[in-house]
Amino acid sequence: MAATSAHIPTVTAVAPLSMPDVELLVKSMYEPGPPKKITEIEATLRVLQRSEHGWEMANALLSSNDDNVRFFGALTFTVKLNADSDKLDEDESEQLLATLINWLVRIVSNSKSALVTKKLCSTLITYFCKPLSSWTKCIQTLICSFCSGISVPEKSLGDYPPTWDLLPLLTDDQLLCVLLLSMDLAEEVKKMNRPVDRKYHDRVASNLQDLELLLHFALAKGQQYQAPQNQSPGLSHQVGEKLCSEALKCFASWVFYAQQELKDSVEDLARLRSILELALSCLQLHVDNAMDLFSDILEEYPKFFEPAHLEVLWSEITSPWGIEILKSFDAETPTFARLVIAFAQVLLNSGRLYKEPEDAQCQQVMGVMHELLKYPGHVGENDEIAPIAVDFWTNWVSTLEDEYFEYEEDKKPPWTETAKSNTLLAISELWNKIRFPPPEITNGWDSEAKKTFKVFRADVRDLIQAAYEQLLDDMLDRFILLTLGALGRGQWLELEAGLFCLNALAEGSELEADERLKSLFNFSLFNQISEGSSIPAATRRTAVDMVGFFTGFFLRNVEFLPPVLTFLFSALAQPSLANSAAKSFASLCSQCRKSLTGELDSFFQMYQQFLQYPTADALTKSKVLEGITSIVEALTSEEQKHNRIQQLLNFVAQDADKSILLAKDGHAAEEGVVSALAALQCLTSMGKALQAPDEAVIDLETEKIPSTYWTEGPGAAIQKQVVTLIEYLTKVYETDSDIIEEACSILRTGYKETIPGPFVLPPKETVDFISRCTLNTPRLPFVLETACIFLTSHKSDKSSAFFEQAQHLLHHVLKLMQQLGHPSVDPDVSVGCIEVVQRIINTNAGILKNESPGVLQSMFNFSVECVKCADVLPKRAASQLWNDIFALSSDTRHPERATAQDIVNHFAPSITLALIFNICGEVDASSLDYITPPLRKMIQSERNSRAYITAALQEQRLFMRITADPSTESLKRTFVEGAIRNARSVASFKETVKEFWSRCKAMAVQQGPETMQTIPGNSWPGSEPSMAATPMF
Amino acid sequence: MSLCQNRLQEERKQWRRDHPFGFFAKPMRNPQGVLDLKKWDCGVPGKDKTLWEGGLFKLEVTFPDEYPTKPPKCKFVPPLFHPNVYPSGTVCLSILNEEEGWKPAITIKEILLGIQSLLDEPNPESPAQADAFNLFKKDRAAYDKKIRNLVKENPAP
Repeated sequence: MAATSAHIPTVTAVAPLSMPDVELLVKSMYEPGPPKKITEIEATLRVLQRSEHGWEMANALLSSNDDNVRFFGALTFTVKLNADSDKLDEDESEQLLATLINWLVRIVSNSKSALVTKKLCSTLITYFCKPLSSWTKCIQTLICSFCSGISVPEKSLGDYPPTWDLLPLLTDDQLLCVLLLSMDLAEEVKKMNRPVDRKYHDRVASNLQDLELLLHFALAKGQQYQAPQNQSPGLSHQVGEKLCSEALKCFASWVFYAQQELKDSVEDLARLRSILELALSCLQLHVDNAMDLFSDILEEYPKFFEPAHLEVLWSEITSPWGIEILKSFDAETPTFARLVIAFAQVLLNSGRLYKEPEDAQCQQVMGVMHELLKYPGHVGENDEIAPIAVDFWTNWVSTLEDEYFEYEEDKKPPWTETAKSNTLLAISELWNKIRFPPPEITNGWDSEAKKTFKVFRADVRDLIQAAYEQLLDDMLDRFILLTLGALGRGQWLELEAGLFCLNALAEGSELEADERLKSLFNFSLFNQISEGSSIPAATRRTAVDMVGFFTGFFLRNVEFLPPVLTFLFSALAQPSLANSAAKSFASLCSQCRKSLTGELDSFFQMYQQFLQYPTADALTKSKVLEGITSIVEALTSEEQKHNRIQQLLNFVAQDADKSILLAKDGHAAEEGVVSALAALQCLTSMGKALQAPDEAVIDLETEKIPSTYWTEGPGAAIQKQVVTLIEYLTKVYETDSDIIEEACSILRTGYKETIPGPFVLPPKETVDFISRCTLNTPRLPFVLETACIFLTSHKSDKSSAFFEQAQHLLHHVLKLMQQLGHPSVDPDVSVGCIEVVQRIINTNAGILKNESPGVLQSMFNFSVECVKCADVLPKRAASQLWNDIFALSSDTRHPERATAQDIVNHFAPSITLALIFNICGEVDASSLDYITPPLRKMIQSERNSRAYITAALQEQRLFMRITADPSTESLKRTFVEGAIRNARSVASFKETVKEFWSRCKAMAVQQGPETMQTIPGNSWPGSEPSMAATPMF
Repeated sequence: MSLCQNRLQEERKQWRRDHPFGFFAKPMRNPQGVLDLKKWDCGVPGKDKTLWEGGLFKLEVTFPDEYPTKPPKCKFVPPLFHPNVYPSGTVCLSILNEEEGWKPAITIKEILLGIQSLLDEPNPESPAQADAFNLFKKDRAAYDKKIRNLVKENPAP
C-alpha cells in the first residue's frame, strides 16, 4: 500500500489505464448509454477497484472536480476496505483513517456535495467496523479535525479544548456532517449481525458523552434559528429546521442502538434521556419527521420514556398547538394521530388506561381515542385515521381479554364496566365508519381505494368478533337495534353495515342468541329486501351472506325459512349474487329438507321462472336442483319421490335436447357441450342430493328385503332415463373430457349408498360405460379411478351377477394394458390399470383365475415394468400392488391365498429384481418409501427370499462395474443379512434399506455416468416375451 | 399453560395485529362453544394476477400437542383439486413436513402465504393426487379450466 499517506500524493496512472482514462470511464458510466456498454464499464471499473492499485485510484478520483467521480472514489475506498483491509498493518491503518478524514474535511468545506459527504461518512464507519480499526472517539476526532482543517490523530485529541468549546466553532455544514457520521455509527454497528466483540460497543459507547453535547448543541442552535425573535428568516430558518431534523434522526438512531446494546447501562441511557425534553420541543416547530420519529420510539421502545417525559409529551399533545391539529383534520392530522395513538398504547400496555377510569389523563386519552373515529370522510378516500385507530381498539380489546382471563366471572373489578362501555361505544362509532359511502362516491374509487376500504372493514370485523366474547348480548342487542332502525328508515347502506356486523357475530353466537335474533327476522327483513326496488347491490350481497352465516339459526327455527328461500330465489336473478345465493339455497334445503317438503310446489314454480334468467348457468342450476332434490329425498313414499324426480329430469332433459340439437347443427358444438355439461352436472347434483343423509340411521340388523322399486319396479324407468342421458351425451361428445368426467361423477353418486335409490344403478351400467372407453377416451385415468371406487364400494357383494361384471371389467382393463404395451406409453393410464388390478386382488382375487395364463403373464410383467420404469406414479402404484400380493400370499386365513401364492411363485424373482434395481440407488428418496414395503413383505412370505435378493444384486450393473471388490461384496452381504434380520420391524427394515440405498447412490456418483442401465426386461407378447407363458393356475 | 398453548396464543395476537390481505385465520369453537386453540379455521385467497385470483379456499389447520416442535397439519375443506393436495385435502408442502422444511420459527402467516404460493406454483416432483397431477402435466388447458371453475365456486367475499 503506498497511497494512503496523510498527505495526498498525485497519482498519474492505474496500470494499465492512465488516471484521466479512469476518470473518463467513471464519467461515461454516469452518462446515458446502451445498457450493455454501461455493464461493461462497470465490470472494468470493478476490476480496477479490486486491483492492487485500488487505494491509489480511490485517492486520485477523490481529487477530481466532478462529484460523480469523487463519489466513485469514496466508493472505491469502501470496496477496498471490505476486500483488502486485513492486509494493512497498524501504521497503514492509521494513515488510511487520516486520509479519509482529510478528504471529508476538504469536501465539506469545498464541494459541499451531500452525496460525496454521505459516502465518505459511511466509508469512515465501514473503517470503524473493520477489525483493523481501533478508532474510538469518532465524534471528537471529526470535530477537532474540522476545527484544525486537517485530520487530528486520536492520540492528540487531548491537546484540544473540550468538545463543548469547539462546537460553536463549526460551520453549519460541518455540524451537519458530524451529525451524519454519528448517526451512521449507531446504525451500522447495530446492523452488524455477527456476534460482535463487546469491544465494538464499548468503542461506540465512548462517544456518548460527545454525542450528548453534540445533540444538545445542534438542537439548541437549530431551534434558535427557528425562534420567532430571530430576525433573519428564510435561509437560516431552513438551516435551523435541517439541523433539528438531522439531530432528531441521529437521536432516534442512538435510542434504537441503545435499546439493542446499552439497555442495561443506566448511565448511558441517562445521557440519551437528557436530550429527550429538548428533542420533544421540536414537535411544535414542525420539524420534518419529528412526529413519526417519536411515534417510532413510543411504539418500538416505550420504556425509553420515563413518566416525566410522558407528561411532557402529553402536555405537547394537549397544548393549543396539538388540539388545533386534531381539530383541523388536515394533512398533518394522521401523522399526529399516530403519535397520540402510540401514546395511548403506552398507557394501555401499562394497564393504567382501563384500570384508572377516574384518572383525568386517562379520561382525556380515551376521549381522544373516540374522537379519532369521528372524522368526516371515508376510509379509502380521505380518512386515514380510522384505520390506525382500529389498531388501537384491536389492542384494547385483546389486552382486556388477557386481563379478564385473570379474574373469575363474578369477581371482576369495577373498572370492567367502564371498559366495556368504552368498547361498545367504539364499536358503534366504527359501525358508522364501515358504512359504504353513496354510489356517487364509490363509483369514482380506484382499486387501491376499494382495497383500503375492504381491509378496513375486515379489520373491524375481526375486532367485532374479538369484542363479542366480552360484550356478548349487549353487542348483539346494539347491532340488532341499529339494523332495525336502518330497516325502519329504509336506510339501506346503514342496514348493510348492520348486517355486516351481525354476520361477524354469527359464528360466535349461541343458542341463547336465537330469541334476540328472532326480533330481527320477525321484521320481515328478507321480504323487504326481496321486494325493495332501490336496494343497493352491496346490501343484497350482505343479506345473501347473512343467510349463509346464520344457517344454524334457520335450522333451529325453520318457520323463518320460506321467506329466506324466496329471497334467495330473487337474488338468483342478479349476476353478482347468483352463485352465492344458489349455494346457500342448496345448503339450507339440504339441511332442513324435512321441514320443507310443503314448499316443493312453489319451489318448482320458482325454478321454472329462474330458468328464464340469464344467470341460469350450469353452476347455479345444478345447485338449485341439488337443493330441491334434497327436499324430494325427504319425501316418505317412493311413488312421491318418483313423480318429483320425473319432473326434475324433464328440466334436465331440456338441456340435453338442446345440446343434441346444437351438435346436429354442427356449427355450435361448443355451445352444445355447455348444455350437455349442464345436464350432466345437474344429474350429478341430483344424485348427490338423493344420497341418504349422513345422520340417517342405518339399520344393520334389518331383515327387510331391500326394495326393488328402482331396479325392477316402476322406478326402473327413472334409472333408465339417467342411463340413457349418460349414454347418449357421452356418445355425442365422446372426445370432450369434461363430459366423460361428469358422466363418471354421476355413476359415483350411487356407489356409497347402502339402500337402493334412483341413482343407485346396477353394476352393469358402470361396467358397460367403462367398457365403451378406449385408449382414446379423454380423462381415461379418471374413468379408471371410477372403476376402482366401484370395485371398492362393492367389495362385500359376492353375488354371481357382480362377479360376472367384475370379470368383464377386468377383461377390459387387461385389454387396455395390452394395447398400451409399456407403462411409459401412458404412465397415467398405466397407474389407473394397475390400481384396478390391485382392487381386484384385494376384493375378488379369484376372478383372475378365469383369465388366460398368457394374458395374466403379460399383465404381471407389465406391473414389473412399472416398478422398473422411470415414471414415478406407475412405480409407486405397481409397488403397492405387489405389496398387497405378497401380503395376501402370506395371509393364512384368506380364502384367496392360493391365488396370490401362484402369482408369487411365478414372479417373485422378477419383481425382486425390479425392486432391488430401484434400491440400488436408482429410485428417488420419496418413492423409496413405496419400494421398501413390498420387499419386506416378500421376505416375510417367501422362503427363497435370500436367494432372490442375492441373485438380483448380482445382476445390478452398479456392482458389475466393480468386480471382486471386497468392500462392495461386504456391503451387499451386510444388506442381505440386515434386510432379512430386520424384516419384522417396519422401522429397522426401512432404516436398513435406506442406508444401503444411500451407499449405492454415493457409489453411482463416484463411478460417474454410464450409458443408461438396462436390466433384463419383460414386455407384452408380440414384442419379445422373455418368460415363457406357462399356465399359472 | 403449555408451550403449545402459549405459542398459539401469541400467534393469534400476532395474526390479529398484522395479517396479509384477504386471508383469515382463527381458532374454531368446539361443540361446547369453547374456543379450541389447537384447531384453526383459515382461508387462503388466490394470488392476484394468477388463475387463482378471486378465489378463497378454506383450510383446517390442526396443531399437534408437540407444536411448535412438530408442524401443524393443513387440510383443505372440502379437499382441493391441486397436484400437491392429497385426496383427503391434506396439503403436501415441504415447510409442513417435519423431516423436511419445518422449523419451529415458522409462523401461521408464513404457512398460509406458503400455501397461497403453492396454489399457482404446484410442485410436480411431489404429486399428492393423481387427478390434478395428471391434468396439470398433460392437459394444461383443461387444468386451467378446472381451476377457473374452482375459483367461481369458491369466490372471495
